[in-house]
Amino acid sequence: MLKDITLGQYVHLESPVHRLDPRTKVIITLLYTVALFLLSSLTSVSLAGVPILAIILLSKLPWHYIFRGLKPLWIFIVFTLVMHFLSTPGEVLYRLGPFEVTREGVMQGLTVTLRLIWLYAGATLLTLTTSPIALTDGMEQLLTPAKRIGLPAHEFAMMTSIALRFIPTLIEETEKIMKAQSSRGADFDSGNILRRAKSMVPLMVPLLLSAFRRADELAMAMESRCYRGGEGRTRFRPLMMRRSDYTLLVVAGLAFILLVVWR
Amino acid sequence: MSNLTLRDMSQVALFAALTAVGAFIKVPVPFVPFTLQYLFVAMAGILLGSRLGLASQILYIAIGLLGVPVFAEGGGPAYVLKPTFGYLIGFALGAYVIGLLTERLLEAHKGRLFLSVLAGLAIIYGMGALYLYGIMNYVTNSPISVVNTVLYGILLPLPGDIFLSGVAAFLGLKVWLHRRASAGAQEASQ
Repeated sequence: MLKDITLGQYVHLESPVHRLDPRTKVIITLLYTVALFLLSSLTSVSLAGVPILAIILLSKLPWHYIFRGLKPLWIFIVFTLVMHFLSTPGEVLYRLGPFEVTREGVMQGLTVTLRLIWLYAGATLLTLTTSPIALTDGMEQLLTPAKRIGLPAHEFAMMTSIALRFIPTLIEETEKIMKAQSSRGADFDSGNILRRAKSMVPLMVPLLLSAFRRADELAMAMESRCYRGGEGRTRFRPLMMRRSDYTLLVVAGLAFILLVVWR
Repeated sequence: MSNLTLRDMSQVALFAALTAVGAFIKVPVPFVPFTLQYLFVAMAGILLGSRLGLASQILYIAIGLLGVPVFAEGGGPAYVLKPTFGYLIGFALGAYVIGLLTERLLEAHKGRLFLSVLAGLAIIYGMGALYLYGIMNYVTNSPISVVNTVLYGILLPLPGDIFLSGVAAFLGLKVWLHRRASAGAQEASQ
């Protein structure tokens, strides 16, 4: 469980998609998302899957990773599909008791669900091929222009890294405190709901207090190492846009403009 | 927002992480997953105050949207489309409101804390139900009636969360008193 959380969904592989700059991938995913909502016919939404399939092939990701990413959504997908099949008026294709499946319903249902699937697959691909740290770095750089209107881009990136670092520590700490309190006679997994809630007190109070102490210690440690925000800070591994990044961005931008005009 | 001290930053990050840990502890209930997230949202409001409480929940949402699976059912930008995303937006607003209502209290008062947490809960549920209704009706075109929204979005998960509100108020009070006592002891020793 610990490993799952710190690494996120990221799968480390060597592929052209993994090598792209995170900024390129974020921008393209955003453009793709907007484009999907501009498409309205079933044919065009089906064709929108071509770039997704191409990227999956290029990224060398095993297919089951993509399906695993889609898993939380599938009940939702089936529900949407059935609702559309049954509730859209039009030419009746099939009748079952009081329910009618119409041609319009089938078309609309497929369009809406395909759009959902591509949307989810695109977002999943971004996070499967980009590590959370690279993503936060990319976001920080992309949001740099917004610093002028007071958006704390660097602070947010820093807090994200700290929070990601804290998650496994907190889980470890919880397990440790649970064992410590059990050895003193605390009972965490029996009794009715009220008893269990009461058993939260000897767990949560020490957890929160020690967490606060950790946060204070971290702040002090950073201060004593002269951390003073993003101003003038340099990086060990600066992000680099390569020629392939620029080419891809231009192609995606042109495709997007074409789509808007052609619509 | 931009004038955060380092201590503020690490505490904000801490509560974003705690909310994430709360999401991993889940009790299977159909439609709206019941987790301990809300406990930590309320604690963020009580212990960090309105501004930092809000920041911690915004950070939590941002981390989840970046693709780290910190939400109850994973993460990633597409989570925005999930009908339950409104509750996450509600967390941010709820933490802010709980912070607003409690940060002016000079003396710890269990009843007042409980009422403030309930006010936050009302905001979370309002936001969640509105979003659920909006997503189902306008984005995925799968109509859901107002009655069903209220039933699945509010009435079914409500008892558990009212109970958690009591736990949150009680725990918040304990930790708040401990922290004040230790701060007082530190000042006395200096």
